[in-house]
Amino acid sequence: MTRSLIIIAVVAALALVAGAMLDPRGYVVRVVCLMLLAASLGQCWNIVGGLANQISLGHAAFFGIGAYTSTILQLRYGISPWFGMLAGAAIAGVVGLLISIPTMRLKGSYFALATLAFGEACRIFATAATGLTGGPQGVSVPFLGNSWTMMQFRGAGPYVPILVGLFVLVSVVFAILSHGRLGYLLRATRESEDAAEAAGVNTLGVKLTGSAISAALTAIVGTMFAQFNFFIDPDIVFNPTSISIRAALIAIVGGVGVLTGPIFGAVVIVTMEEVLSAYLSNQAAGIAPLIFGMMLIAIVLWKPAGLSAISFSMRRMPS
Amino acid sequence: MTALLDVAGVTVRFGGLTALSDVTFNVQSGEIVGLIGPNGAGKTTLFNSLAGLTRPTEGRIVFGGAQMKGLRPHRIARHGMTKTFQNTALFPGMSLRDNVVIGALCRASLKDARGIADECLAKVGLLKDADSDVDDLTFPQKALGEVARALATGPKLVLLDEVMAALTPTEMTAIMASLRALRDRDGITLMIVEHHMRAIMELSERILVLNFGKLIANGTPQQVSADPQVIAAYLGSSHAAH
Amino acid sequence: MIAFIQALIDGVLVGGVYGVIAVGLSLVFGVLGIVNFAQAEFMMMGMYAAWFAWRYLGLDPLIGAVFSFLVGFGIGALAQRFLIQRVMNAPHVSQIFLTVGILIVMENAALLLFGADFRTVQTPYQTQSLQLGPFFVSVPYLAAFGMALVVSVALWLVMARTWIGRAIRATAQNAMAAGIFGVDAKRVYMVAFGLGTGLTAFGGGIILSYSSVSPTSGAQYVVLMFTVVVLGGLGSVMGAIIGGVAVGIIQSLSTLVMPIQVQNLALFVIFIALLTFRPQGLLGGASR
Repeated sequence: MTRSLIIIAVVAALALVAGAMLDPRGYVVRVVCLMLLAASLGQCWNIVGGLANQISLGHAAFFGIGAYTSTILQLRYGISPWFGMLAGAAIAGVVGLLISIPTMRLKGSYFALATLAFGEACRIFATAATGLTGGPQGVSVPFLGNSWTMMQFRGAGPYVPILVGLFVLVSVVFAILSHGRLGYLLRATRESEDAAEAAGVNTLGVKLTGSAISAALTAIVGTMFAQFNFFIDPDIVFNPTSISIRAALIAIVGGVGVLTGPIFGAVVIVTMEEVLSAYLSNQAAGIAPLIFGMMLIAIVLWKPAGLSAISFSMRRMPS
Repeated sequence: MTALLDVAGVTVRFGGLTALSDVTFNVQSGEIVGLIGPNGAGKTTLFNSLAGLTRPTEGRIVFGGAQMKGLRPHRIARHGMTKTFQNTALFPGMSLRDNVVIGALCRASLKDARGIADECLAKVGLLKDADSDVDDLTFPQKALGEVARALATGPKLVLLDEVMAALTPTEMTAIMASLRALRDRDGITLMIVEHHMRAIMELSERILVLNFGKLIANGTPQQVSADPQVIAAYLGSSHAAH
Repeated sequence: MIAFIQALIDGVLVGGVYGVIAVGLSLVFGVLGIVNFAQAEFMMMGMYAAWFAWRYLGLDPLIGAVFSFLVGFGIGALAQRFLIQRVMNAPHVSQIFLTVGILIVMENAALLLFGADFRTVQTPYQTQSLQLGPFFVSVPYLAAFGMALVVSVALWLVMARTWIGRAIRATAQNAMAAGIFGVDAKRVYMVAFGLGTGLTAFGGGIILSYSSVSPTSGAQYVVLMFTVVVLGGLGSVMGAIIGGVAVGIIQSLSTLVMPIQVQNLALFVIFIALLTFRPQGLLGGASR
């Protein structure tokens, strides 16, 4: 694990250097920010997908809750997104707990289905609750000029340290979860619930804790996305393909349950997205998700090791 | 004196199948009680009911003065009653020590749990294998690993489900000594399911006999091996009396 | 009261079609044991197939639906043979992501090929309705329901009376035993899957007679389809039909009391509640 943490530190340092030395309004820095956001999102999914072996296809729910909570609080009450972010995380954590309780006992595909349905329910709610969320037209984050207190800047440059902090935070949480006390309990719960219970493990409590943590962190990523993008609508932040499935894909491409996996996944996926949009722009709407889909199929068929980390047949815990 | 474990009228039905029928007995603190019966008699079902993995359809289970029926297994384990699994259910992909550590986490911090794990492994003679991956262990080692994990929870009563399967006579003598020591030195009450008749007759002070889900005998090894009902249940088996 | 019964009538008619769409999903799960996340995309594919049949061959969608069936069957069988067969014995994770991948590919391929606009058909009876006392029975709904009924009976006959139907049922229960009697499991899986996707595509064709199609049509029906199947019991064909009618009625009645967007939300809540409290469905008795 130490080696993995070193890799994270190096990546963080590189990103910070790039942010400081390159043109803060330039394209490269913007891409670095997108990659940090993607890696953070993937790492959040990694917490439940990799450690608890629960395939969630509904993480967009928490991403959207985070994005909308901080933005609405900002628009209506002028509250800084730093506080809005915490509020969003708290709400998402509670929502994550609430939806976990009924779905906890569902197996594999049923659980995935339920989470997908939940994510969609959130999207529909956000689209319909026009009074609260502004409906399908979405909402914009008001531009007040460069401001650290309001977490917004003209160019992408100043976002880099914030997003690096986000990624390091999520990764550290993942590392603690996977190697600390909760990590042992999660692994036991995942391998054999009955044996874990007989050994005194509160499997339900353990799973709920993992869910709540993952949900809260995902909401934080959502808030930062809203601040970076300046505009959100239900189809962007609650999107099953471009948020939920993409989060899973980022973790999978790098290897599920691997601490440094989402870095690799984010680099691959964001690069691919940028290349596609540069060469094809608007004529080929749908080409990026199409390739995502094909990548998913390819990974399942030819590199199931990317998924097999979930089976954890070969992973060892430090003794 | 009040019993450590008090079981009254426990019945377990799965759909149309009655696995246990009106089972009543108690276990005093410090006893070693054997549980025998032909295959399918309901021994593992009884253990699962006691440990909370199966909910009895009817009946009462009182342990240490507290109601156990309906409690989740981990709460029963924290009360002090836990079981081992017949075909072993150690967590794969982890070392033996880590498996036992998990048992200790319900009552200790991660740091202390490692010390507790090593103690428990030593009690069953597996300390030397602590770092081995469980997938590399032999079946007898896994069975004992289960015992160590159960011990790590700090139990007052352990339900041992066939921990002596596939042992050589020498190994069996060693294990029997270790189990006796658990009671003599550590004050742990044991309830043992075993098919090795000689072992269980030697170890147990009292024996319960299950047949088709009903308790048909409850007495000393001598009484039970002379009981005509028990002999009839094991019709064909000549291991009864020694 | 009149509004209530009217909604009931509409619900039953629409629900029959929901049943046909969902029956394919139930068949796939019952025989292959796989939850096919991409199933709704075959419905979308069937809608487009029927639309093109209408546009270039002048076929009424109710007839064009047969063409939809063939397209759905063909592509489904191929997908099963070359993609899904490879994960038949793989852990759930692989099955989930494979079918999710197929879902994404199909939806976006449609987007690239057909563009994002909504397409509809025009038929002479589209706006007609029969009057029974104070109630109106919409002709397209009635015709669709009729076709759904015909197909359901046909499916039942195939499953109960033909060799392939028996082979499918045998393989669903015990593939190895069926193999001993000369049933090639792989071929059965291919046919069963194709039958499932074909039926869903057929349902899409029928729906086109009163609805519009776009690349996202499938996505809109995903949760509805799964709700129907879970309601009736995953793996039960009869359950899918009954579940379809039930969902149709629920949906129709709820338009009386809530706006249309919230109505979809209600469906989601029901779906999650079902999965939580009664995953075996209201009828129970799923084969897996």
